[in-house]
Amino acid sequence: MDRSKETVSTLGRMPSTRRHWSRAALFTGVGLLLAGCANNAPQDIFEPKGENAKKIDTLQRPVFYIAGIVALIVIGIVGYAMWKFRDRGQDIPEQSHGNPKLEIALTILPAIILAAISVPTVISVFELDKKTDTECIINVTGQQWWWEYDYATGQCGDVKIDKPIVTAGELVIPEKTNVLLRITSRDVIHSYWIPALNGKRDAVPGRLHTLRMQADQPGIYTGQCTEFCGLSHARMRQAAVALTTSDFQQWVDNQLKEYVAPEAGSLAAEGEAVFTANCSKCHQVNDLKNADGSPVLSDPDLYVVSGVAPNLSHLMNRTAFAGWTFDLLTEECRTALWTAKPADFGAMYLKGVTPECFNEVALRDWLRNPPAMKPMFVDPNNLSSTGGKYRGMPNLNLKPDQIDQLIAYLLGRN
Amino acid sequence: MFTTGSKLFLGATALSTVSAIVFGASVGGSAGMLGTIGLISVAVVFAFIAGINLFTRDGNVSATEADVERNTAAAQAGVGRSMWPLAAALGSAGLVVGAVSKPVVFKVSFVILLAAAAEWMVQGFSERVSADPKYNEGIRKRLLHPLEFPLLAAVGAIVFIYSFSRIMLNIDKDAGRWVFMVIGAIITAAGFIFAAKRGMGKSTAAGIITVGALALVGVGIASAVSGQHPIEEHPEITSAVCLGTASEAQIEEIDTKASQSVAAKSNVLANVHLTSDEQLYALNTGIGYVQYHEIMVPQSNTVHVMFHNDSAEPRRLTIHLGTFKAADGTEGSEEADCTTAVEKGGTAFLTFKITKSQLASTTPYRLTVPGVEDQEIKLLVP
Amino acid sequence: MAIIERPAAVPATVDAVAAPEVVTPTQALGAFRRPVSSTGWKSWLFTVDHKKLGIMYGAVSLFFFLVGGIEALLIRLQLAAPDNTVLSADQYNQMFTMHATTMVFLFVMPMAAAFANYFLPLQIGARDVAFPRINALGFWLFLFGGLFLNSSWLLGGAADGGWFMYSPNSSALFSPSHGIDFWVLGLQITGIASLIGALNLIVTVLNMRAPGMKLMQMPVFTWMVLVVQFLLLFAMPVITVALFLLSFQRNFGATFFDVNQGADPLLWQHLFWIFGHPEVYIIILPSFGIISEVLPTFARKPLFGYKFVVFSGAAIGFVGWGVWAHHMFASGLGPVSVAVFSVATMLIAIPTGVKIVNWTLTLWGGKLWFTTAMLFAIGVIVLFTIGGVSGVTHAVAPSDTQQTDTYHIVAHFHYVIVGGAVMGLFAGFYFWWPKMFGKMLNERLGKWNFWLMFFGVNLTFGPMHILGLQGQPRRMVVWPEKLTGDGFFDMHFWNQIASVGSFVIGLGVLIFVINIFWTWKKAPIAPLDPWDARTLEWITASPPKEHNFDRIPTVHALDEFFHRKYEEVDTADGPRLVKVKSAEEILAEEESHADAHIHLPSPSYWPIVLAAALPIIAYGVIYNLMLSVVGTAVLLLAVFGWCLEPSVADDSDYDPPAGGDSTKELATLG
Repeated sequence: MDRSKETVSTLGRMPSTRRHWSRAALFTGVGLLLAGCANNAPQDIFEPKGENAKKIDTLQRPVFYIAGIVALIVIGIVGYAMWKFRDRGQDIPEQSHGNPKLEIALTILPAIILAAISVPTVISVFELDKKTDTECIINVTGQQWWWEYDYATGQCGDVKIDKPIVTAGELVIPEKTNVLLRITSRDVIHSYWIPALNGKRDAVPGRLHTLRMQADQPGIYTGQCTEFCGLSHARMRQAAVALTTSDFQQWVDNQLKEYVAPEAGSLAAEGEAVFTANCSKCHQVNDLKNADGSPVLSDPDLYVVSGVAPNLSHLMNRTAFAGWTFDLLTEECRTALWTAKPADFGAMYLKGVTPECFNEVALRDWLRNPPAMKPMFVDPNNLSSTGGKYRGMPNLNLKPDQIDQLIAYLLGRN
Repeated sequence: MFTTGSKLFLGATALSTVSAIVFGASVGGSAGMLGTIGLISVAVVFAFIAGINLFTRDGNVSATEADVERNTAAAQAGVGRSMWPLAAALGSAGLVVGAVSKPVVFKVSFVILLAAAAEWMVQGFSERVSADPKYNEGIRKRLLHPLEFPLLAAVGAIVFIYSFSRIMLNIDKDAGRWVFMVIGAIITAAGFIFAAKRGMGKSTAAGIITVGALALVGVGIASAVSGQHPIEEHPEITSAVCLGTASEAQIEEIDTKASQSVAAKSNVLANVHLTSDEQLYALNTGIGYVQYHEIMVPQSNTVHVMFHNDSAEPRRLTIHLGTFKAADGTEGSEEADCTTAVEKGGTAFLTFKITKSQLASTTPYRLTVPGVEDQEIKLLVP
Repeated sequence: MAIIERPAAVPATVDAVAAPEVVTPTQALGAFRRPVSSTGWKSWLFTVDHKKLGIMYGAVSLFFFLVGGIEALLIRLQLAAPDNTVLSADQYNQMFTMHATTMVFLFVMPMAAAFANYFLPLQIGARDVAFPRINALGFWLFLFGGLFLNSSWLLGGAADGGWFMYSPNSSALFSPSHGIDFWVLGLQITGIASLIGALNLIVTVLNMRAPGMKLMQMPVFTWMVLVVQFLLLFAMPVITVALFLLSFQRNFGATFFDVNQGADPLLWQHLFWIFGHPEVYIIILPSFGIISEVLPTFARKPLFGYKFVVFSGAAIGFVGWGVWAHHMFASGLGPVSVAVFSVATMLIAIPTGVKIVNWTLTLWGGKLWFTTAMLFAIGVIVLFTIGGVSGVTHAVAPSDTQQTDTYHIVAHFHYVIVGGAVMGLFAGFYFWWPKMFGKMLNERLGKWNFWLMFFGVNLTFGPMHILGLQGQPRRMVVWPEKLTGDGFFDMHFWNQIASVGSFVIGLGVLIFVINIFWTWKKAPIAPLDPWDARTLEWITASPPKEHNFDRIPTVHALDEFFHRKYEEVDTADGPRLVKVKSAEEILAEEESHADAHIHLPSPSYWPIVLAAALPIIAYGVIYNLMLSVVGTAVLLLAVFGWCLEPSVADDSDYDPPAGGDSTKELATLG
């Protein structure tokens, strides 16, 4: 058998081979290194903005560096061996079966590296589970496909909350405060994740999991449900908003303020009637009254599998709706808010959605046909598996003038 | 390839299949279902027999050959001994006895008769296959072993398990644990001995196993005759019991017999403590140093609460689940749920889900301990 | 069917009148003749030959590889732009569920089974596996199970719960279509195939090795396959139980995962991952075995540290059982469990690292010959190393809570599975094709195939590291433009690169398919020993005869074939390895000493009939239990037919019937 030709042709291609190896190595290595210095993607996991995420960050950075270096070394050695020991017509090598001492050494080396990594890992695991320094507890409940936050009464940092607060999509917390989220779910498994503040924690129905949250400075930190939760998993997002203590006090006061009914005869007043007739079966607006003065109480358990729907009392104090997917702010205003300096952030956020900044198109489209914007299990002809209940918001077939009225009414829910 | 016999059975298969389809299509209801399954089973059985018939190339002998009479296998060898006529006779007799006495006798006899018929048939056939008894025996084994072994194994397993279950049902709960362990240990030990002692004869091992099996079946029969230990019933906890309006006897029955709800310790929303001086407070999970007298409960969430009783008396934790108007507008009564009474130092779980806002109820949602006045924990459901 | 000599029949001296001679009938039972042919379509349908079954395993797996690949390309098309609309949310969920399911259960696992079936008996010098009919049953179950699973596309939609199928999202309340029922039952059927295949190969390895072959002289591929079979043996029952629980919940009203009845959904996660993590090693170890054959062959020296590689493989298989909860670091297990599993996961990196070290040192000091197979094998070292070290970053549990369910994980396991397992299988194709078909795959096309796939894998999965670390989660039908960064972190750019890369991989696979056709139609007959190979499968003809070896080889050393070819000769410069015999000479010697009696199993109808019964039962479970009754009847018929079937096809089954005194083809083993 003549293999010399084959050998020669392989030789001829070697340089390009090596260039490729080194490029691949460079690509991976530099990629990992650069990812560590980025500051421009909102959910970058190397951009911690709170104590807990920073703890993770200090732990994982060296691991990434070690991993990158090990990969480079191995690839380098393989590349060198490929060049050095290519077939140049040398003799068939000695048929040696290895070198036990070398192998034991090369087994112990990674074991030492891993042992070194494992110690801080275990310490961090327990530190991140600590519950003794909690200053505020908030219940976080996931359902298809949005998050609800229930603020318990009592102290939250330096602010006292007198009555329970129920809100959705945007978690508002005081800065520099150890908040403990108590996470659960009402239907399938979800996972709560604000990369800038901490890692993920699954929301499992029937179980209550805790997750520490702490933000160093005011700002908005985006996140996403990260456990596959069915049809609209991609459209189940969330954000955490950190405010200074005084701003947080203001936010709490606003949440607990008296209901302001729209001026009689206005478009918004007509909207209130439309809301009471169509929306209030599932969506609660606190203190909304019927004509006879009795409270309008939602009873979503009758219509929705999860048994709840977002509380809309202060919709316009949030910046996005429908699982924090669609912006209530115009793109310009949203960008301004997201990039605001910590010092200016609170005031900007507390303004809520002003008529100038209101992204009316999205809300109008939503009210016209929700499942067209966000896939949900709401086909009225196909609800046998859920016993007639919806998973998500059905198309209410609202007329254009009803939508106008509703928008006018909702714009006042701040 | 289609012999006379197989044609008959193939025809029968076709007929029963058609009947099954017609019957299934025309007769509805559960009776129709049952009948169709029966007819399909008949079709399957006929198909199976037809298959055997085809498989054995039955009756493939030209009837015109004169020598056949003399040379057939049947003419060459005598008929061997058989236990099946006896079994068939027993089965037939049992059928009659069963018909006038107990249905179970009838059923067992029917099975015996069926088995005897099948075995007799195949044995009869196999003895006439050839003049070579060894070959004949081989044929019989090949046809019947695939049926006999699984069936016998199943029957053996059933008898074994049934006997064991009777024993376990006869003795009380605590002894059962020990009996289970001891029997398991004996079986394991026996297995070890058989495996380790190579010199042990096959018959010795078989003898030991037989004695063991007989003992088990014997004790099983004795246990079945002597009956079961009493099985507790778990009554439902009712609102009346939780609110203290039920009779003493009812309450006592609930406390001793009701099944307890179980939840994982790490999943509780709050721990509710009743102190030794009968003060009630709650610790919210995650913020263990603040004593709360109101807890926020998210609407429609399944919530677990753990109750710790440190007072001297046995106490229960009751949750008041509100009062709602009925659909026809009449006033309803207050609903409640509770744990069973817990001794000093004990704990119990309470699991609940509140689907309506507190404003919908005319009475507040709250946790109380019956018998302890002026102590409650408000549940806030906005 | 192979050659054996039968003793001539005893001449019948007939004295009909007096006492008829006791004559044992020679006619077999059965209305139909048994299939006996070695050629034609029947010889494939009813075969029990491990080589034919291996080829069919391979062909069907390759088909499912293309199906799964098209699903992957659709996924990448959808993600190429923000808020894209190529697929609807529902279609997308089905697509990624079926992509994973197809690639894991219908491509990588059965393709490894294809190589194991074909080469394991050859590598240990056996004539077939221990239970040839069960082997055939395994293949047909895999095929029918795979088709059943994919038939859901046409019957109201495929499974949409992700391949991990977490409860309660997999319950009928949250996934009312029949997709998950098809998924559950389809996997049950293919699971039976894996389980009986595992038993079969374990018995084969332990009982049927050639004389002289000790366990520590087995080729590494055989070793790795053996470890995998033990993993399957213990992992398949777990997933079977889990699938039964889910099946009963969906179809018969059970409440194993129903939270309202007090169930804990984490039960499913534990069951799934106790199976799912060993499954990772089930996927990767066969490829490790393949490249442990390829690297020494083309480095012209034995595998460095054979014992270390074998023991590390066994260690991976063992420790692999203690790390399942690292898939659940975000599930809320509590800090103690998380810490324990985190450390255990780091532990498993050690034996894996040992393998990489040994492969690298096998290259060291060798005489490297860069064939396509060799390039693929080296590709595995490089890509698996990248996938391995990124795996260490998830072993650090707090770090994993940031990374899990993002594209960083997708990057990690695709480097492991595509870069490790799939590239390893491709090394196997190029290495063993001449042995299986007697023709060599075109090396020029092969190089194109390799470089396109190698570049493609890095283009597709490299950027996913960046995407994941920038916070793009998995399993999302759309990603929003507002969450992208700029410059180096422009998700739009990297998503597009990944999509382009996926099509580059697709092109590489297409070239492989073209190569197969080219080789089939145009390639010349390959030399007997084209790679100067080392192990027993090369000692026989290419493709091997039906009975594999004319003479069962006696084994004296690891790499037996190499040591028959080469001997050490003392020269002036010291000892030197010299080729003393060519493969042709060795083969001629074997042929001239052919065994006198060769026993091989006969083909059978029953495996395919039995396998066909199971999808019927499964359709019945979904649509109407009556159908299940029919399926069960077919099943029983097949079981009894199987039991009654003699191991030997009778004389009369041959056409023309074989005479009693001739040398003829016959089988004696079941």
